[in-house]
Amino acid sequence: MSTNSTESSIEKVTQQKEENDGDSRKDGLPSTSRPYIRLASELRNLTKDLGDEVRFRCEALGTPPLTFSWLKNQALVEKSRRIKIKTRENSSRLVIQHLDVLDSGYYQCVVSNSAASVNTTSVLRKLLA
Amino acid sequence: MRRAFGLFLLIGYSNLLVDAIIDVAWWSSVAQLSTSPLLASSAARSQCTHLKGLSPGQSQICELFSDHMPAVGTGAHNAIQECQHQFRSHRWNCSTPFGSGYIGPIHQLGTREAAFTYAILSAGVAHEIGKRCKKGELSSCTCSQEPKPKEVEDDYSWGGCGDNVDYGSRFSRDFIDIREKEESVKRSNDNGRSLMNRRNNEAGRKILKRHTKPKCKCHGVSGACNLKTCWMQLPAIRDIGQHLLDKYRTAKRVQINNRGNLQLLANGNEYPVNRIAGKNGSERKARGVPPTDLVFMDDSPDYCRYDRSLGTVGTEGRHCKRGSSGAEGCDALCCGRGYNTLTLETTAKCKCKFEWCCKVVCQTCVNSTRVDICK
Repeated sequence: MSTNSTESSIEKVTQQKEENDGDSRKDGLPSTSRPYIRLASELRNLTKDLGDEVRFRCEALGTPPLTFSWLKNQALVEKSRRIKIKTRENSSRLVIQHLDVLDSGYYQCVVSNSAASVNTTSVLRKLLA
Repeated sequence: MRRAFGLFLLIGYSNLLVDAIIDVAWWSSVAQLSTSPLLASSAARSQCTHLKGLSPGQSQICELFSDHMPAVGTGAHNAIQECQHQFRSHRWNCSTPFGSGYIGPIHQLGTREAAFTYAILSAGVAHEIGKRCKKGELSSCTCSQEPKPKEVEDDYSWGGCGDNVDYGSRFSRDFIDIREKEESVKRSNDNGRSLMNRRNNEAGRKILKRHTKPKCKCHGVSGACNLKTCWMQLPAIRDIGQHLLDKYRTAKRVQINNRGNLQLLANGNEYPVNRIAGKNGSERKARGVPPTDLVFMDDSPDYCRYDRSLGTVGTEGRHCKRGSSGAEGCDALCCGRGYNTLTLETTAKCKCKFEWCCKVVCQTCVNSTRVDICK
């Protein structure tokens, strides 16, 4: 869901680029000195049907190592048979299968490294039967 | 966190009280929903911003499930009332410290009284949500979907619209327990208290579920039982209060171990507590305390005197029973301070006679009753 980033996300990324101009080279690769971090895209709000599956993908660029965590309504998402989290070096994916009414909520991806912590939130709205 | 923190600054209580204040603030503000028609009637999203004391996560759930909030309020209100009923003759009577501006008790310590309060609140909220699902008042749930239980006889038909205890419990778990899990509201240095609260919240809901039973009714002409229907029926909140009072009396003392789990303290031996979520969020199955038992960590204060830092009201001014050896007896309730006896005189109409025709003539009688009040 994060592959096509929204307009607002592009704005944010550009903004952060400007702020980071001193720290990063034009090709987007990290400079040798200061650590940095930025999100590659923002999560979008969603409305789903009951029983569907939802996939959130969160990607970030920054000085490794990156730490990803997922929050639902401010609390860490607990994994289960239905709820899976797969994290790689630069991205993390949260998958919820067989959506239930009470799965609706504010889902937030938090990525951090030695430079800072950045986050993006998606509202999964009330699921319709 | 910002809002909760602002509230704390506003009240200006001591640092010690912050966690307890935040807890009483949420149930106090939602309980007021049940008596405030303005807030209860509007399903507006803005009502969540009026609810002081909600954690950031609770505010988000409030916004997405705004139609549930009046039910949460009524459930919390009923729970506090039931708590006050069950403890009416105890030194701790579940009351609110005078002048605090809150509804409901404040618990600074992880006592067995705190255990009871958290359990009945989460059960009360689950109860009211489950009831409203059945009535069709909430957009995201309906009647109970439970299959026909074995104890319902074959000639009874199943499928009457039942109370949805399952949904009620799950929503109660989401909404109430979230504040024990939120990153921004982590209790200062007190993971044990969070685990204790979650455990007691769950015990309250489990007891509610356990006492949700099939109820059957006969239909037919003049008492003939031609048609028999059964459905799931939640227990009365009074029953839950009584069951939880029994659990209060047999509550188990626990402590947090170095792996971050709760452990039962019994006879000097340590047993792991059944199914308590550890640091990694996983649940561990173990022998030990049944999940419907209440657990506590701290000794109760004697509740004799007003103590702002503990949130206790004291027993001064409470009615007691002279000569009774129970908790309501003046000796116990007044903590040995003694009591004053007041004679209350009440006037009432009495010895009424019918006189022809047509009036009723009464005399005025003075009744005096003796009341003992703790010093």
